[in-house]
Amino acid sequence: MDIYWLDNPICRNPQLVGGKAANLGRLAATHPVPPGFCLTATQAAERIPPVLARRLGAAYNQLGERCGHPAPRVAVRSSAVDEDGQLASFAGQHESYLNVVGAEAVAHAVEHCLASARSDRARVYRHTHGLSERTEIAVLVQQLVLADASAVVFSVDPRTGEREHIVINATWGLGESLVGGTVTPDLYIVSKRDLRIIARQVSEKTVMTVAYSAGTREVAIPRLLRAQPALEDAQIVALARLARSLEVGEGWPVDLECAYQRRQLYLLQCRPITTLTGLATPIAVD
Amino acid sequence: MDTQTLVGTPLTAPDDFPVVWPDPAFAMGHWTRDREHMPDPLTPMFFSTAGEMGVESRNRVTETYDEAVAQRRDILINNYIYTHITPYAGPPEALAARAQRNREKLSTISLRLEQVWREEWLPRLEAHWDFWHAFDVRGASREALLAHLNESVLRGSQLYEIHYLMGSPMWFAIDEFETLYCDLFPDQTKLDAHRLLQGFDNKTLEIGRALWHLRDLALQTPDVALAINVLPTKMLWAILDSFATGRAFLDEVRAFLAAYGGRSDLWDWGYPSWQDDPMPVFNNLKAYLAQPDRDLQAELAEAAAEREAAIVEARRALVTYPTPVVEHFEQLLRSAQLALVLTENHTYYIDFNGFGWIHRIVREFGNRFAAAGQLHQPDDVFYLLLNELRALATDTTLEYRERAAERLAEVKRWAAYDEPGELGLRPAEPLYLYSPDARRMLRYVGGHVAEMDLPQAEPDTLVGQAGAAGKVRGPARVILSLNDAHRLQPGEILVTTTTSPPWTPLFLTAAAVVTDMGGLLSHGAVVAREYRIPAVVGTRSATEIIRDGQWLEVDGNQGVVRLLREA
Repeated sequence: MDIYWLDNPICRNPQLVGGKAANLGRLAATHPVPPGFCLTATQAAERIPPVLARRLGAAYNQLGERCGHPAPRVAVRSSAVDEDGQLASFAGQHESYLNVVGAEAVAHAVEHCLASARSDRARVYRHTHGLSERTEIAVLVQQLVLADASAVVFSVDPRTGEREHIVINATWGLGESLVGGTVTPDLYIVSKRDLRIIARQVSEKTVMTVAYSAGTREVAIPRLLRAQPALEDAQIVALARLARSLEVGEGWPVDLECAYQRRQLYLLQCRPITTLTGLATPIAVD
Repeated sequence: MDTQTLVGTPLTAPDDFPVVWPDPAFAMGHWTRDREHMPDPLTPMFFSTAGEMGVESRNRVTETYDEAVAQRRDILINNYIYTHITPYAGPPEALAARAQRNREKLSTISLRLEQVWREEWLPRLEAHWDFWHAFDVRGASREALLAHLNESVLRGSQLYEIHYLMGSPMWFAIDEFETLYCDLFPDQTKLDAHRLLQGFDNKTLEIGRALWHLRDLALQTPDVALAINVLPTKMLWAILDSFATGRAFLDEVRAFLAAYGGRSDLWDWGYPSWQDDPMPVFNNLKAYLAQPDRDLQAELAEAAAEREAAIVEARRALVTYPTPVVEHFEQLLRSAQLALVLTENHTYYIDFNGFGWIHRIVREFGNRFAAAGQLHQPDDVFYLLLNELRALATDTTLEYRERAAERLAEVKRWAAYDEPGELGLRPAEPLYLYSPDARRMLRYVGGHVAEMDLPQAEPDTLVGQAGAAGKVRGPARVILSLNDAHRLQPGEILVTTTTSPPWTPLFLTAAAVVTDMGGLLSHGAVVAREYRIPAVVGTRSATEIIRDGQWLEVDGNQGVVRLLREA
């Protein structure tokens, strides 16, 4: 197992860092991806060896320097070598740990990520998707963005397949409530051609995920903010523009996970859209 | 009153409490007692004047804010005030729209509460005080004094209007902050939320400090301290007036009374004010002198320090929360802090200071009527109706000596009676009220409002609501009336039905407070938090179950009172 920074070209190789991290590694130099590093793929082990633990601690401290904080909050995510490819998204199959603080806690989270690859749930998923039962797993450690608002962006409408529509879901706080489906997010539809907002549905958002203690928790959203749009129009357009350019750059429809913290946009995930049969093929560029 | 449904429990009053309804249809409504504000029988003067001043102004504000209470009606039964509340009713869509407008209006004002107080309400109040200050009550002719009274009643109506205008946004701000705090920090309680609001100076504390200052002065003058300690309160004024240091001390007492003595011991300003009869001041001084080592300033500073620590803690926790949430929290925190100060101050500005002036004018009429033989004694004037006073003022041949004396006897007779808490028909379903001010009002008057269920009590345990944190043991002192307040000794636990602002000075003597009624925001709980003594409020039955001298453990964190076998 080795450690590489996300903007190192090695991190573009899905065989080494897994699909999820490779998708981000390709974009780290040119897009607002939070700083982080990867532990390259390995057969899952019970414990990480002491040498690696020391290097992991050093990398964590160095990440602290990059973030300007001695003990930065990080997200620790597993990244399987055949994950986030075009055939299966693996969404939610491997563990993620948010708001991990301190080198020791990071080492524990990494071990848990490795163990999760061996879980029954992951094995069943792999089996039903026709993948080999055993896999190598990499781990991504990234600065945690304390999001004011989180968004999921689809460069085509995943419900209708409409290629002219960029669809955005957004809510307050970290993205877990959005991904986990515990909140009904705002829905915005943007025209891909001219980036005009053509539909909006601001919903009553009741809960949000916030970083708390060593982890996260879901709390109620203040009454006054519930029915407020989580994104301003300029932010909606910026997200749509990002999705449009990533679709062109990647060569296929993409879905993104993004966050706004103090008006700064961060790109947290970029995956091919896998649910559109026949759509995950290269798109002709005008 | 609309009585379309008769679902409920008819309430039967005791035989010796005859109920004569002003309108037979009233028997179909639910009439309840506001014992927090009006624990005693009302004087006819207060009731008739407040009726003239209060009803119209309340109705105006109800419309201004789209409030949830469509109508509040107060009637007198055996001199006790009973209140009926009619919620605004309508089709569900209309009700929802009205509730939404109410929220928006109150939310807007509550977020700029400081500015509205400083720029709109306070200047209006100050203009009224200037008017009253400028008038020479003693020197005015009868005609001029009557004109002044009539003008004062109109101004009193405006005071009520400001009172109601302030009330809704104030309670809204506090309610919003409590909810926000518990939403953002699910492991915290509303009581925890109040730690972020406590320890600001307010008029109630200012009066407490001024009284405590008198105690410091007395401590520095051994003769004065000795006199206050050993002599019966009734003799004190005359004795202190008989020696030089005593007279100097009385000058300080007079200055205190001039500043703060407009208040009565009750909300009903028909009863003697502290200026009329300074007995309560001396009773409090006796209790304070029994605690020579206590440092009140340090205690108050501690409350402020605890607040600042709680705010730092909350801000630290909020570091991970979305920026708009943090900004909203800071805005609501400021509003709720000010709102809590205003809840105490409006009592001083409006009830004690404002209506204190009307009390002085009416009492001046009492002096003149007594001198002219139209009444037996000056204080009897408070047992007339406002229009009867007007009649005596214009017709010097008229006299109401017997009428006032009979009414006084009647009020005294009922004062000794334990009146029923509710009359009429108790509804099966609790009332739905969408605004916090309306719910608070209904709670005050003991109405049937949807509340969280109190946990099941263990034997020898009374369960109420946690009003102020802390746990303490001590002997109980059950005090049902402020006339009885001098029995409270330092270290004892004050057990009472409810406490209104005039009870506040007792909090410097009591080790803890237990009440039958009230919630987190009743005056007793607010002041207990300021003075950092434990309080359990809303036990429903503490004064019935607890006897004088019973050892108690008051757990203000859990809202539980335990009856102990021994000390």
